[in-house]
Amino acid sequence: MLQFILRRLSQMLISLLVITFIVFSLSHLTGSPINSLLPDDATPQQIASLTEHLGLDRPYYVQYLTFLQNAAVGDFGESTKWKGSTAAEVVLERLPATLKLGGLAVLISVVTAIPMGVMSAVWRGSIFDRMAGVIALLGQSLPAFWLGIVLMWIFAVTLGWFPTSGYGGLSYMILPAVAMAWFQVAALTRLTRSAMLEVLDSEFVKLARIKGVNERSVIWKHAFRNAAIVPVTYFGVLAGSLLTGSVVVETVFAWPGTGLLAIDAIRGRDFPVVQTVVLFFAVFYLLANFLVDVLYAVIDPRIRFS
Amino acid sequence: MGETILQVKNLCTVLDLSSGTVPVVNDVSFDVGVGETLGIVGESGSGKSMTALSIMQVLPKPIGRIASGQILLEGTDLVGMSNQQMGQIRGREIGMILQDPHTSLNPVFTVGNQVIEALEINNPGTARKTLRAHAIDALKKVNVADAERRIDAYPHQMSGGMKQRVVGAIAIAGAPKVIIADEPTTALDVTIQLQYLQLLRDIQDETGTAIIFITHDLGIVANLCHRLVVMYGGKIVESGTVADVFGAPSHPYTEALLKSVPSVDQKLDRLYAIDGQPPALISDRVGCSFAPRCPYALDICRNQVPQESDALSGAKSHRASCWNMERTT
Amino acid sequence: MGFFVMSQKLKFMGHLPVLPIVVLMIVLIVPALFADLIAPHDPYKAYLRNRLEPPLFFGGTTEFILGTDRLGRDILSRIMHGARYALVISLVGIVLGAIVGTALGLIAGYMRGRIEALIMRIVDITFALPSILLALALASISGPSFQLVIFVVIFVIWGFFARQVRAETLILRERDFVARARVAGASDFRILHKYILPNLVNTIVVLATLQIGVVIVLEATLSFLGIGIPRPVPAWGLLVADGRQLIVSSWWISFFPGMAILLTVLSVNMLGDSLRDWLDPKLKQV
Repeated sequence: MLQFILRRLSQMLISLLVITFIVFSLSHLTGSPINSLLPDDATPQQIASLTEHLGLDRPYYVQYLTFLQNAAVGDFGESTKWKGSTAAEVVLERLPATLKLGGLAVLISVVTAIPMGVMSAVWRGSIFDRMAGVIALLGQSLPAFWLGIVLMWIFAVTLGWFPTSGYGGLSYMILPAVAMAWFQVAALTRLTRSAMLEVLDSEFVKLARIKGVNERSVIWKHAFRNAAIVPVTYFGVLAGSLLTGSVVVETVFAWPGTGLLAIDAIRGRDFPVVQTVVLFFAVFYLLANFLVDVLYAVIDPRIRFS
Repeated sequence: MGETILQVKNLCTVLDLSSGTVPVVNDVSFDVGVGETLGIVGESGSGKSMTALSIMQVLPKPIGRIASGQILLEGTDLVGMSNQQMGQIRGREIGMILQDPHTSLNPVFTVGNQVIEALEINNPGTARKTLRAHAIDALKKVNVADAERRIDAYPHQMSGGMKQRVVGAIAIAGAPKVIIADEPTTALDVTIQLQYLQLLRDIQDETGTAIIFITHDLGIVANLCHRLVVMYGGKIVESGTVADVFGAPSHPYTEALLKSVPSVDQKLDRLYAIDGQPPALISDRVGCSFAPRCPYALDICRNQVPQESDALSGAKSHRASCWNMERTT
Repeated sequence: MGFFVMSQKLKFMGHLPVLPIVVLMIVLIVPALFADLIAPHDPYKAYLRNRLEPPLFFGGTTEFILGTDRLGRDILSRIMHGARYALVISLVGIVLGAIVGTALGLIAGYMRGRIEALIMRIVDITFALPSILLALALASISGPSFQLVIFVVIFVIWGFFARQVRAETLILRERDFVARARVAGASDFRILHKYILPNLVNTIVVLATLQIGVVIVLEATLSFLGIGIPRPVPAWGLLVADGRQLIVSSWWISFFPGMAILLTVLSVNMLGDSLRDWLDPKLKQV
């Protein structure tokens, strides 16, 4: 088990390294970050001194290594748009908001999709199953940004149940979380259903029934425990799409999280912040997948002992 | 043998397929007595497994169902019972062993866990520690070596033979009156097979459990069973004691089965195999389902389903369904 | 509802449900091909006296069936012209992404070893990088453009093809007909393109169909955020964005373009599912 974890960890680090390199290179594609930092009428001396100050005259790989070194201790440079704060500070300040929203979205997805998927399989062919199928299809076909707008229009503007946008408690979070979760509910339901269908057909489920195990235990203790591996593995992908979803949803609902921050930063040409956000997202995604792999091993003893 | 404990009467089980409703068990009747081992012999598709699943009422949903007939366990009809009521019967009054030990056990729980679960169903409210002790005893009883350690093993860490013993332990956990064994040794090595059969015999001697043993292997039938029924195309074509049926096989299919088992002292150029394929599942068969492959088929065989009558040995319990038992041409 | 259910039974070529095909024709294909001929108005023409007119059954006139926007442009015509971009981007993006993904998947599955590990690692990294952010970053460097959208599309979807193709190649390369070809002296390239690739066609087609929805939504999302197809082209995502600020008073500006996206993607997904059931049931995943 330890070996397994170490292997996965090292793979994760390699991926991370490559991503940092890509991210680092991005900011240098503009030609030179200098242009965004100084006014157009800067003198050559000003340009030269700033270049030296920022270390931009050093060879590329040295710059990259410096970047890595700094990143390792949490120094991602200074924000150019929000003067006075470091990029890390700016991002960390907005991170909790996105995590809250994302957390609620994941909660909604899991609580809705898993039971729906399981019962669709158990009551295969029933009206419930067909309706769940329709919901799943719709979920995968609705663009999140439009759904957000429509939800806002129906529930906030017309019915007035929720505020339209902004930061706040639960009532401010529900609409954006639903918009974020919608696609995941669809995908997760489908996955859970097909996994359950396969497991319900297996011999050991038959044997559980033959033993006299009651139906509820057969479904949840015997069947689901085996089928659960499939939706669990999906959580890795889910983490990734939550991140991209956050950008769109936060924009529509003016939710002050890292997604909205990224857009503002890019519009304001604040590359340190953009870099930091992308890195945070990538780390989050890799961590999520790593945790999924570990969870996988916990659930399935066959993986643990091989 | 003792009194009848399970009686199957005119059982008809069907599958509702998209192409129509087809009978897989077609008017099957037999009974089993206390302490007796009944063999159900047939090839794949003969309906023998479906019969077993019908008795346990674990037919594949939603396509399988019992269309008509009775299954009397000590006089009580199981057909038509609710799932709840059957739940009281399964694992307690009737136990079952499935064919493939590699897929019968749940891969994510320890072997001990699964045995304990069976014990708990039959002894609700018992303390965990007691159950665990009983589970170790159960494993020992089925000759699982090193039971104290094996109880915490996962199925994938055990051999096929050992897993099948665990399945056996689970089957007897509730001291059932009937054990249905659906080809339990087919997936095992030959040497392990013999051990397993001996295990079943021991269990029967000790508890008087009736055993319904489903197989396609006549050698096992000769070894283990007291009586047998031969199934073909969903119907019983011959039934009787092992001595009578083996001594005077009356249905051409039985005869062919016996012929196809080579014995060591025969000099054979080629193994005997029955010509043709097992019958397809259709709902409107005319005549005897074995007729296309039968070397003695007469015209009447192709047009009318044979009636059951006394078979060649003359014993009252020996019956067969054939128009041409005398083998006229 | 009954009509919907009934039409589900109608199958084109015996396998594909008719309703999604019809919807797709109406919403996407016909407008994409013939917008110039059948759109009631010029999508760029601003009827300044008819600004913010509601759609037909909500107080509007037959002249502007789905209403007009802030500048008095006809929504229906804009949607129809926007169909072209949705269609082109998705087709081009999918084809290119499929080519890249299939090629790399084939190489990975066939060559095995370090090359396979490398390619699969790149796939993982591709999935790890948040695509929208990448698009944002690139767009801020070079400005929004068609090429950017296509590039992002390829970036996002090639990995799906690569993974699936690799998995199937792994299986196919062990088959007898491949072994025979190798024994007969066929070169790797020949084996790949004559023996393995033809067996993958079904999978690729089904996967491509299932990805069209993803691509259309992706393009719309990028356009919505302002980094997709550049203005003033009436791409559907841009149309939704146009109406965002006015959602309270003039809901139709965002609503109908969004419906167009929804109907298109819904139909494509339904077709994709049926296609998959028909051609390649082992792809039953998300």
